[in-house]
Amino acid sequence: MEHPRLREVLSKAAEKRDSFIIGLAEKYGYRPYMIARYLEMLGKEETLLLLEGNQTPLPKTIRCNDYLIPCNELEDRLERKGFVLTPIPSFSPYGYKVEKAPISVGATHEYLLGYYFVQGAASMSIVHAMDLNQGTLILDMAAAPGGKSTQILQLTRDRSLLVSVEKNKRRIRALRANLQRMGFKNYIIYHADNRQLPFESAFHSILLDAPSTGEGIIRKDPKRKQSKLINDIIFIHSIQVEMLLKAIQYARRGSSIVYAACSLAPEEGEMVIDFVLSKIKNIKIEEININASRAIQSYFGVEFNPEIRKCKRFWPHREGFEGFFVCKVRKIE
Amino acid sequence: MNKKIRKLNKKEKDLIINYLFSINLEFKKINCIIHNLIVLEISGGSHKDVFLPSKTQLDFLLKYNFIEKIYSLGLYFGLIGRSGFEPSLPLAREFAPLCSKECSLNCIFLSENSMKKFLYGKQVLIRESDLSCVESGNVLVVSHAREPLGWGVVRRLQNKYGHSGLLLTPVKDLGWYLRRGG
Repeated sequence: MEHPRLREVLSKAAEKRDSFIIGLAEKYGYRPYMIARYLEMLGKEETLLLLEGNQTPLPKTIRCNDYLIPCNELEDRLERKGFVLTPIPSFSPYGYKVEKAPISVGATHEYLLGYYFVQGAASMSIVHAMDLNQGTLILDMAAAPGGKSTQILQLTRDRSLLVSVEKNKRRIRALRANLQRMGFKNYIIYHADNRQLPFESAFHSILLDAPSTGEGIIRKDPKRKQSKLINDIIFIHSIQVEMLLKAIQYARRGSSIVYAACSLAPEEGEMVIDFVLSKIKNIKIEEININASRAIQSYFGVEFNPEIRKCKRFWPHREGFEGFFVCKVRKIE
Repeated sequence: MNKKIRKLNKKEKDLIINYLFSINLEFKKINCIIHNLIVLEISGGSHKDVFLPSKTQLDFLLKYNFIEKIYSLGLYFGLIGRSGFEPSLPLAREFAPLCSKECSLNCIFLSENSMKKFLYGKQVLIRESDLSCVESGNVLVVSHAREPLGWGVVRRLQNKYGHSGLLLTPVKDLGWYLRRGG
């Protein structure tokens, strides 16, 4: 299943190969179809800002686990060890940018004790878009390595039952280790394909941080500038659509699904939501109160459902961290 | 790969009761815990995982009957393998608040230097700045601030000159999360 105009927009992107596009692709090391898409979304000036922004490594950020330690105490402990931290309250009240680290942030006693999680700033703001109440049933559909699962339990003080699902055998070990390390108990981990779960209308709140092509984390993985072809985008788009349709099935009436993808590709964001809105009648999109840019409204001649304006995007050159798409879908009563 | 969730059998219960007695956990607490433990058994697996789930978790399991895909749930209590019961790191966190310098539970309090060695999975020769509640046997290892560090076994050593000291051998330490955790 895919958006009826998916292949058309991707062909348009692939066909645009003027000297400006080729020049930028060569200078910054991207595939030309990617540059054509950025120009379509951002125009010339901002595309240059994005390409320059993607040249700088992603800042290290951590999320303090205030379920185990007051954050000011963690700050003191890490600062005594020579770390320099700056709070990033617009992303999360528990988020810090690590300005200076005398040793790896993943190798301190405080890390082993579960006092913090090494997590991208945009990634940690996604969970704040969810409806999180204590005493409810919550599903994290693609949970490893556990950044968002541990954050959900942190915000619900381990008092909601979280069902975390992960298909990948290697990554599920990290998920379990992180949930345990950070001191949580109120979870069930399933090693399963999230499209084959028996949980019809079961959950009060669902997070689908969908598998993506990773176009939002080029600052962390510069190989991504070249590693994905147009067919990879088509493939991942269809998986994302399938997963979101399933997520809607697993949600109780009246409950919400937060869809996220760490990608700048509209094919993995706006087009997924646009297609699902056209297929399912009993859903609507809700505004989310997180500090990010608006989703795009049109793309290579395709006008999206106006509801999509309520979805958000994190751009590396605007918000300063990884690229993400996030949208909140409500299953109507 | 068949998975099964069940209550502990008598042999498994005895193994865990013996371990909890060995660290001097109160009988009342043991009694409270032991009947609520469950085992996740995988046919052909090398060990069995033991969990302490909540009632909500058990209700969810029963309602959806999706047992064959379960990977972990609730408080991970430890594992039962060929060499007996091995307590988990989450269990160390659970019991750490029970450690006190009055030694109601068999704990060992490590100083910063000893802690570093222990968290690398190395044996630690106990110094004056450390405090051990026992001279031999199973211990819960914590920092002086009662932060859980893992599990170990203490024994008394004597060198050829007649000097003696305590040696702590790690069973499971927090460094495991970095070395093998995932």
